[in-house]
Amino acid sequence: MSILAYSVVAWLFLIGMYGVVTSRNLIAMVICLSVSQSATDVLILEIGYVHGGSAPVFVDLTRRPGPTVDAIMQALSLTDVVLGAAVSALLLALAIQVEKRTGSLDPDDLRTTHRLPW
Amino acid sequence: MAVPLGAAALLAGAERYLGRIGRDITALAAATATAVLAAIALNDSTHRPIVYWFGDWLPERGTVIGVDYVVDPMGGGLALLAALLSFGALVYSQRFFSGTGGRYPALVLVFLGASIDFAWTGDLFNLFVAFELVAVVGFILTGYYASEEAPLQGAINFAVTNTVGGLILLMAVTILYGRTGTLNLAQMGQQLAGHRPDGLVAVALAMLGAGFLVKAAVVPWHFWLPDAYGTAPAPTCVMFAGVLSELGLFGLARVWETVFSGVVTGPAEQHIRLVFGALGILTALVGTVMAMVESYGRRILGFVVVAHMGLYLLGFAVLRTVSLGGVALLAAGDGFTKAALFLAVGVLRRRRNETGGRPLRGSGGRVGVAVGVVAFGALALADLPPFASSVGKDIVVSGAGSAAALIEVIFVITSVGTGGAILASAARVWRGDSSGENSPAEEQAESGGTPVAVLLLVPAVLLLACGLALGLLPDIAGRAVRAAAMFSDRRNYVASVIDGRMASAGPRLKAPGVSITSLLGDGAEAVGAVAFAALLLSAKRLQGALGAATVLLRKLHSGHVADQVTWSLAGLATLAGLLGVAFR
Repeated sequence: MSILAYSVVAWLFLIGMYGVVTSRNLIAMVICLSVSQSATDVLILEIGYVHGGSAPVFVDLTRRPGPTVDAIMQALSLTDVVLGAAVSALLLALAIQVEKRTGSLDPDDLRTTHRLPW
Repeated sequence: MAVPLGAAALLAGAERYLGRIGRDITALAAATATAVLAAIALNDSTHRPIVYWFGDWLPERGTVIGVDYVVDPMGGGLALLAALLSFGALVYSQRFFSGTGGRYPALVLVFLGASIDFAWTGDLFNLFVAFELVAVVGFILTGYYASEEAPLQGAINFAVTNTVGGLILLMAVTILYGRTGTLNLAQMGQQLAGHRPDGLVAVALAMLGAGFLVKAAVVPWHFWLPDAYGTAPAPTCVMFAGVLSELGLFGLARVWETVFSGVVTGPAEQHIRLVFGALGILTALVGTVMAMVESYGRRILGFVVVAHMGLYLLGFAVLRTVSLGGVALLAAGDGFTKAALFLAVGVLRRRRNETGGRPLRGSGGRVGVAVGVVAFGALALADLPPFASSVGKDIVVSGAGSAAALIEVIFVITSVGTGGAILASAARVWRGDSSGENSPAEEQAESGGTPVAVLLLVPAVLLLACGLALGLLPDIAGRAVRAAAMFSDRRNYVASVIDGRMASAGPRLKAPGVSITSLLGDGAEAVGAVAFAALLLSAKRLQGALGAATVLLRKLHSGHVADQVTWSLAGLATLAGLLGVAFR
């Protein structure tokens, strides 16, 4: 079971990266990047998972004693989600600027770094 | 760290209420205060690292529960460097961006705060967060001329490759947490020490390495750097060249010394040394060759940064304390020099934009000063004594032991090649042979006041002077080596974090003395750089041959983001494979 869970991580990461490499559209590229990002979230949650554990709300422990899942890992994945949102928002903003400037969203239309002034 | 972040929030939030003067004063005061505080922290940490637990969550019976900052001389020095550079960038940007409001200085200050967080934190996840914060601010700063194409492309390449690097890094953090059950660097090292390194440790090290080396722009993870540095505004490049790339290597060194140095020992350590050393040599050579064949000033500087990162990685790969001190000194000295170079090139570019690419010769004393900064900076990068780079290089070589000859050769090739490339390019612009292409939007954004304002030149000259002064400080070599000794002393690091005191007095290391021969050698390198520049300029056939020989290499650097990601992943796979073999 846990092998399957970890393969999901590898699959999500690789398929996302494949998407980033092959996309012909900046927005699709950003979406693929977030697919890869969700792989890290899944990995974080898997590492913090305790079999049969309940949610780490410690005031409830007196009523329902037992193991809880790892709260630190949940905090990490929250932070990661926030970071991912920031990066996606920024890239999408850049994509809008690219569209305004060149009228296209294909990353290949953008190869202009070689025609720079000194 | 709180000072720059607080001031940044103030600047961004209260933009409307502060006048222009108020904004400038707030930003500069924040940078100055940060520099002073960083200097105090650096001074206090000379003998033992300062450990600070947030919210007083002290370790309980040897188990870490809180999040800590550990300030040692190395991290303190990096923070001071970042503060000084951001001061220079802020002064320069006063004139550079007229009418951008408080947002630009605010971003520079956030960048500064995040860099300091990165340098001081003792917690692996905090390290990752600072890494991402630095990166995100970096993307914004690169794409500041959002209405232009080239910076947009630079920002997108930078953002995509560095986000991929960040994801890889985060996975490594998670894997290490799964193995050790802690995020504190000291405790992690304690948990791992003494065990046989297994596959999981190899994978974690490879992923951490790849994540940090994306930021440090080591081949094959370097493709984004010339695109970003070649297009970002000049004051942004100051922060990037002096701090950003070094942070990547600093992160790798920090994690290596605190977490992995206890578990990876013996032959495995030797093999890893080989892997990182080979990467360093490859990076230095690729960066040098590309700097020679590139024709645009700022992209040349970008490749020079790549070549230097290769040298630092090579020095780190020696994994000897003395060399690490040399690398730190080299990085600081070069950081100042490269920052000054970027600023001076920015000034020259403005000038050329205004005059439509006429030769710069005979256009007044201030342009002359800028050209002088470029020339002197190039010589300083070619190890002209007594700049800090020269002292640092001598320490690296003297600590290298049996590999000293090889390292010396690589250093000479890189310094002569890159110094010569910068000088040749500057000379071409001075005579006005290369054709510049104007970019109207950028010209508009940069327009303001007199052609070359004194305020634009002052930071460039000052930063160059800092690089010079650093080399002349009494006993600077000894200080650097002692700082490195404390940085790489894992036992004492763990003891001061977990028990709150040093376990033993650190090893007393003596800095190698400066010999006349090494000084002469460095001087010869500088002369060699000048000769090489003359050769590049006069021998057109040589240029043709260089161009023909590097067609393939130049095609690789075409700025195609999908290629860059593919190379990053291929690099990760190769590194993991090599480390797997190394651990057998």
